[in-house]
Amino acid sequence: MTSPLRRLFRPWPRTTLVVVTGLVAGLAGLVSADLRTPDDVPVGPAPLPGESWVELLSMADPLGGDGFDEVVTEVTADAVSDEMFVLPSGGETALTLLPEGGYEVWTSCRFVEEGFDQGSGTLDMYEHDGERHVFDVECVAPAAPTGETVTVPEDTAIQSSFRVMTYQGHVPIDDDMEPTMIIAVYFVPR
Amino acid sequence: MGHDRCVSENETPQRESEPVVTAGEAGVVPGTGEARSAVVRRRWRLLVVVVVAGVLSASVTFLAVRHRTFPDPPAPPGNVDELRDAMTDAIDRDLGGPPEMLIPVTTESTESAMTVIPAGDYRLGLMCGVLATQRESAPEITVRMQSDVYRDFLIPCPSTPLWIEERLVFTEDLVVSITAMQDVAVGGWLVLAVLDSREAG
Repeated sequence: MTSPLRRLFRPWPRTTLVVVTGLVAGLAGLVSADLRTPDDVPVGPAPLPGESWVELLSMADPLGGDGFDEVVTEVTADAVSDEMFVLPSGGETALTLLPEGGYEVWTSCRFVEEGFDQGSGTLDMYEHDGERHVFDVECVAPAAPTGETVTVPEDTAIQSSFRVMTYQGHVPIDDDMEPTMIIAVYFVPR
Repeated sequence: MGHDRCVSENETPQRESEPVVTAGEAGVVPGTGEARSAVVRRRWRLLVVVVVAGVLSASVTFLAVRHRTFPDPPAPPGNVDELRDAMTDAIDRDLGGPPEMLIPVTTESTESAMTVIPAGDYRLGLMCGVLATQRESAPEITVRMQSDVYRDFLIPCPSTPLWIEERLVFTEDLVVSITAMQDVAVGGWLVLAVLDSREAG
């Protein structure tokens, strides 16, 4: 009877050799996978690609146009409320934070260009998650009520824009030219 | 297979473990040069078998176990929610915590909701991300921040979190809106604007 140790050192049948080798290698694979620490495995979000530069293209005041200062002073000279904003016509928008409450809307308006004295426009006020108020206002001074009212149950952001609709003047009017108005909008507590 | 060992008297005990060839199996006379070359050939065959079996078994076992043990590596963001989460994580890492104000602008709505910012001294951050499913993207995007003034920034897209050097000082509560504009009309991007009053870390 051959001892197990001596049998171990005798040449192995090929099948035994392959099976044992496979078992040992498989065990090695299992152990090496098990020994992997979590640090080896990517976790969390995949890294995002991206460049790291930023350029400030411009910083502009919507009321910084030529000749605006004088007109802004005029339309705000007869201020009727502290809750107000000033806005030029022509695609600019104003963002205003209106404290909770009920208000009458008053406006005061002037043309920037010389020679225009009568006109009207459309004021578009959009409450954040709320109502939208679109109404026509005559370009008058000093400030006058528009008949429009606004009520906000809490402090509310309002985005506004103003478009010129009609105008008359003493200067020849080019079809391509549209005068610029500056409007002061006041929220007068009711 | 029965094997009769053919061991010379000069062999050391260590050599007992080496495979040997029987005279009948190899058809050679033990102790001759042919017998020795037969031994060498047999050792090479065994070595090849061992190496091939070892590599295959270890690889298969390793892959199977690894797949079962560890989750798949994270995939790049494929929808807006995943993209937003990944971008927010990157911003959080830069700030050392969640930002105080986070204003998103998406492809679908290129203008953010109006956001009320309390008076204070803020650091402005911008970041642009692109969905992994998006094959084409505009390399740059213009971001306009409107408050009392307009500030237009040009940033790469996608980008890392980008921090504007000049801090924004608001002396009263302000409404802020963020708008993103691209020269090329492609979608699948998300811009996040961050306002945070903490000092840079």
